[in-house]
Amino acid sequence: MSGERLERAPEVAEHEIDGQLLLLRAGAVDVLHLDAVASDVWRALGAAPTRSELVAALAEAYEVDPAVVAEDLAPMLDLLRYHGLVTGPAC
Amino acid sequence: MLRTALLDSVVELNLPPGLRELLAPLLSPVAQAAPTVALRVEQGPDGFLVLDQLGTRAVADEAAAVEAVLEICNREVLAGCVDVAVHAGVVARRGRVLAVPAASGGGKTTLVAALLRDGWEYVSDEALVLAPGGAVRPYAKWLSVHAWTLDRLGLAPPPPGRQERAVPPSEVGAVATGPLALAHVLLVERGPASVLRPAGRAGAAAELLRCSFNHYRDPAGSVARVAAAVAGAQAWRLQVDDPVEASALLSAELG
Repeated sequence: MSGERLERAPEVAEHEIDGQLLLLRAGAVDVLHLDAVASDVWRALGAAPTRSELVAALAEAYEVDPAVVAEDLAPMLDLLRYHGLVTGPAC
Repeated sequence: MLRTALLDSVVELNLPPGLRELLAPLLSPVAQAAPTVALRVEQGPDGFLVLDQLGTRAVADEAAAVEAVLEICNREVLAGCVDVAVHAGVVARRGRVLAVPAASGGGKTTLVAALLRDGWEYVSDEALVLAPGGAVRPYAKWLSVHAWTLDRLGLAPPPPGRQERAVPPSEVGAVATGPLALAHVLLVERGPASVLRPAGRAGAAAELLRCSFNHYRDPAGSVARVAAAVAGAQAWRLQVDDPVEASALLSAELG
């Protein structure tokens, strides 16, 4: 599973305010507000990484143990998946 | 016949004389302009019939008929609004707008009324309306004020048997004029004392969109418009116990 790529949904409108993103999927009504960390996750997803690559990139950026990143990332990806904003392997 | 203009609607009301006298101070009459909405009230032996495009409602007395007419007017005016409209209480000082997004029952009218008593100018107790470019349009309709608030602010009570009274803005304070720009978004929560602290603007924008009446018509355009308006504003979280105390705090900190 870790080799499969996580991909952002196409046609997502982004608006950034103070480093935090508001996301709106095409055809959707509900806006998702991402805090600064979740906004970084969203930006990193722009490269369509595998889950392992995403964990490694975030662990390096935040200087945090990859195991901690992997644990924190799971609910964030679940939220994005719930809103139809990302596709790829479940965590 | 009474004709009034609110936002993008012209409402024509065909009313019995007694109701016309009650509603005229609340719905500023306009002489011209073609109506976009029509409603009629008929007096019967057991009360009144309020008729609009959605149907007929029977009410027992004049006070209930006034409430029904105002409710329909508000609903139709918001439905006809071409701009982004967010459920919010809105006041201003020197053209700088303070918006309090909240659903019904969230206490926004109470806080707005208290702020008007403290010298803020009235923009709306119902909707923050954002024009293209983020300018704020006034929707200075009557205020629907609960009995508790009327008493707390020293205003006349509601009619017998009613929980609220529709109050003309002039009874509470001045109406804002001139260009209006969003300066503050206030996220309100109940608490044991009045406390004001900074909040994130992105979260405030998300809350405005959650409280929007009509962003579903053009979701992406509405997000862009709200984001643009909030980008020029400050966001705050206000814990409220007593609205009069909270208004004094806001006037000192943001006025």
